[in-house]
Amino acid sequence: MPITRGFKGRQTETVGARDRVPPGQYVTRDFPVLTAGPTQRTPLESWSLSLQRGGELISRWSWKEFEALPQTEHTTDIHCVTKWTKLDTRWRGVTFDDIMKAAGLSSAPNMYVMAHCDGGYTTNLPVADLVDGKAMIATHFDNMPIPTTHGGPARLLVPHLYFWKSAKWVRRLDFMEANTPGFWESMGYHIYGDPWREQRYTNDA
Amino acid sequence: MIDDVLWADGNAAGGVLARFFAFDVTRMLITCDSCGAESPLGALRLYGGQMGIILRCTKCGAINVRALENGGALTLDARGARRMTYRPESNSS
Amino acid sequence: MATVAAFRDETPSVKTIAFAVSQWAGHLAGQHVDIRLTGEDGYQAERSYSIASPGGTAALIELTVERISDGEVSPFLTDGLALGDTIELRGPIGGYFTWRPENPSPLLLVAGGSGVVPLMSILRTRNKSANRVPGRLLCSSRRFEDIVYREELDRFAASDNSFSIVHTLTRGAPTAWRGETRRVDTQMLAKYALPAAQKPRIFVCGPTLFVETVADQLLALGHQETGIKTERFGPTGEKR
Repeated sequence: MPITRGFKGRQTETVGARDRVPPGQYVTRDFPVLTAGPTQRTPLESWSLSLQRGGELISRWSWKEFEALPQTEHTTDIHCVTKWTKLDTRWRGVTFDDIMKAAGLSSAPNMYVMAHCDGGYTTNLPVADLVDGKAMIATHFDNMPIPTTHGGPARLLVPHLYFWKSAKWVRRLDFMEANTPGFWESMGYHIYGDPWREQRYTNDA
Repeated sequence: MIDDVLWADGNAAGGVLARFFAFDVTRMLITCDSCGAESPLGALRLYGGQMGIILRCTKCGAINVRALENGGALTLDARGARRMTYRPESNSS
Repeated sequence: MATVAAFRDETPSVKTIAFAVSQWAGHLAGQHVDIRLTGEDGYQAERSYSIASPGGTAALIELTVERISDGEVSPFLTDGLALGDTIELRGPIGGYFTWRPENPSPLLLVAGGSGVVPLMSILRTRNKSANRVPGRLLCSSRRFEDIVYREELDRFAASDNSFSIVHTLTRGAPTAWRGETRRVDTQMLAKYALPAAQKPRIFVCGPTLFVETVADQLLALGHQETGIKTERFGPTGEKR
């Protein structure tokens, strides 16, 4: 791979943070927008979040109902498979645990979840990676409602995995028996996506 | 339909796709499987940025072609294209 | 691989770079190249740039690059490259957005800022050829100093009765300015675009919003969708 003399990419070194940066990533202060399609702009009056199993409804919340669920704040680092990492991002939303509780579920009916979003995007996740505080449906970033370009009014947030799993414009969480690949996973991105093991593509360890 | 400015023309995907096709794929005519509209691949709306290539119908917005390049490998999903036609060039294009 | 052979300043923020390209197969007017830069740590950035030089087989091609102030790649190309440096360059790409001198249709080109680059390749190709079917360029720039290729375009218009230019400036004009002074709109297109009945071949290039607006307005004026080809730059101004 030929090195281009004098070229330095858009990388910002953050002193003392190297142990927070997974292999192959660089730290950015930007918040790049990557999208598979046009920005979704669902009005809050039409918005709902559904919890399903095999497509059958378990529970559904309107925006008002969802905002009334227990709110959790979380500051975390996020890692995009396109190699940028953003440190100390601040989010607020409802944890997956609180969603399960609100639905009256003491345990998950299946081992996996497919997240379905406005615009058609999907991503698959093991339930084990959503529970115990590992994930939330986020509605606020930096104390402000998440802009539509960044997935508002609500997006999935699963920061310990590559950020394509933190699906924008999430509307349905569907428990499923098998770990069916979602939108990017079915194109060759890794089925799990652990940034610390650099699981970017299907055949990565 | 000026929705937002986050797409490019499919023509810009020509570089990646050129490595895998023996002909100029931007000139291929794509028939949308959702609405039947026909368009050169170079005129489709390109989304995906650095994640990959997503080419959407300019009429109905449905995904016609998805492609992901990884090193020397290409994965292509053309389910959204009912038909893809390539014709050699005539001189007066 | 491509080796930097020459530089030429076009405007205070736009520079043309000539590259000698190994194993160059030749290109058609309107095509682009993908360049890839690799930092010492392996970080890579890729961008697409339209070829400015006329269609042909010469292994020396020109790219015209606008320096985007917070861009990742363009400031490096305009300010960081030196004669003899090499970069990875792949192409030519994009037979979709191309023009050949054999095309018998009247030609309408609409440029927004640095969108004039591939259209200049078309005009330079046309100028070298025998094609003298009516051609017009409607060129939108910020200020007089920002008009890319201004003098060469003036020479084309002066020496060729079949070609005309209309300039519009969007951020203020010099005192003796005789061109237009606003963003391209339906009235301007109605006045200067070639008539739809002539079925011109139309090329529109520039920032995404500019291209989308112009294309919509041309359709409203009766031009056929199949006759309009567009090339949009992404939101950063850099293609892709």
